[in-house]
Amino acid sequence: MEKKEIEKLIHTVRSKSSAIREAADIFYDLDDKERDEVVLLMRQSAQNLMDAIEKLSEKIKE
Amino acid sequence: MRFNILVVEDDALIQKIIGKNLKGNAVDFVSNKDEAFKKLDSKRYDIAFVDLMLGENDNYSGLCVIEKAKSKGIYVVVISGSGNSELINRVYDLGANDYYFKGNENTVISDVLRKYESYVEINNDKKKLFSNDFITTDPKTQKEILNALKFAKETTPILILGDSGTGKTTLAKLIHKYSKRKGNYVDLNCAAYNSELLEIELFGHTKSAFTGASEKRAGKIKQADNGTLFLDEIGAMSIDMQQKLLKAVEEKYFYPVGSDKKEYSNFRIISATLENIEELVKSKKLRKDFLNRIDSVRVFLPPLSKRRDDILILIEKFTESKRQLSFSAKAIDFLLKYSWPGNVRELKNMIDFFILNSKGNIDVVDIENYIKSNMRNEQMETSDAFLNIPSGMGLDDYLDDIAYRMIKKEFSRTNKVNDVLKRFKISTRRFYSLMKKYEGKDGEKRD
Repeated sequence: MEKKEIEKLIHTVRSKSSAIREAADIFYDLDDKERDEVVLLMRQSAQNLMDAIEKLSEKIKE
Repeated sequence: MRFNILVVEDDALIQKIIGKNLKGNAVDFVSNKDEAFKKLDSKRYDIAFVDLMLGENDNYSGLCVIEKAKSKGIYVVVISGSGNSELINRVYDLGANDYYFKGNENTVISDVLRKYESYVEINNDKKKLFSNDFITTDPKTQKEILNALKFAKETTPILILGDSGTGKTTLAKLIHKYSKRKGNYVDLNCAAYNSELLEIELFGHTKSAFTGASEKRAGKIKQADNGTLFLDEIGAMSIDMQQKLLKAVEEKYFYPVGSDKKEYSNFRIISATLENIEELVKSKKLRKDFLNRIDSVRVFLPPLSKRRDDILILIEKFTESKRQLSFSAKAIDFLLKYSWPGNVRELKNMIDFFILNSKGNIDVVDIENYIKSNMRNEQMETSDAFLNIPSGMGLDDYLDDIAYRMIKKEFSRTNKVNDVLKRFKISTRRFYSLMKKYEGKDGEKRD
């Protein structure tokens, strides 16, 4: 298992999850249009997060 | 202030969050190295927020962006999901100004903007700062001062280390000046008071909190509300007092002596000591949790003997618009080689003395005589700390307090009242009246 690859996946997990949390923190400060946009981006980040976790899981099994 | 800002971040959601926090500034967003390079070549930016990994399988191309942005003199802040210490070191080696982990953008961004404002202000003032406010040409000293002033607008506690006379108080005042805090700058030398008096000075007291407290008085913490509290000689503070102060620093409230009513103060603490801070912790004179609280930013001011280039510049400054002095070549040689144990303060006192008392042309013999007589005076002055009577306390009570503590100390050594009476030449009545006053009992026969 490549340490560098794992590190990069961890980096992605960290940054996507924290971005979703930070977005949730500012959610009430956004107007309706911005909320729609942010929810879409949160969904996308959540998908990226899931993908990274899946890859991490596969790496561990290797 | 409105800044030109470049955000180099591949994640659209984080771009959105950062953008929200940068409202009011001119912000450009890019998501990879090439776009960042183009922007950096075509426009002048004040700040760049840079992520390190730009894309899923990117090999930390943000590092190249840092290098490029620094070559353009931009203030670079890294916000990354990587916590690898090797990478953090690399980032700082490339000249980045700050490194933050992702996940706190909502607070980090406003901190960065405040810090950048201080950075701009200090850099604009740099010449005046080191030729007037804190005179030094020494790069190491300048670096320490700039590092401290970088945090001027934060509420971060600052700990200043350095020998006596190196300028700790001057620096604390400068930090307060640049902080733009609306409240007062208030200072206190902890070594000048015993624990009880220090508590009164720091926390204040109610009316009748102790004999002689004829009216309520605000302590230094309250006086420094929305301002800066500078505590010098922090190592002289008792462990109990450190605990009480720790609570006040953390909670921003405290109880004045004799009161059970909370008082609030939004003070920023700056501490200083000339002692070895690690030794103080090791010898249990300083609480580790207290040190952790006051030691967010540590600054070390080198002694004058390590910045000898400043000596003649300081002399020139101290004699500016005053009676001019002429130093012989040998005198100058002596001044440049002398160890200056009292640092800048010693040099200033000496120059002030020569301005008032010399014939004007100074030879090495005059300096040697001054140093000898100054040493004698200093020995006498070190015992003068007890002359600081807290306002609100009468002289009789203060003298009683000192007498009681002397008696108590001698009594615990000898355990014989008669020995104490003889040693201090006091009457039995005086002995027991002090015991009654401070220990609240008539005093049993002790011999």
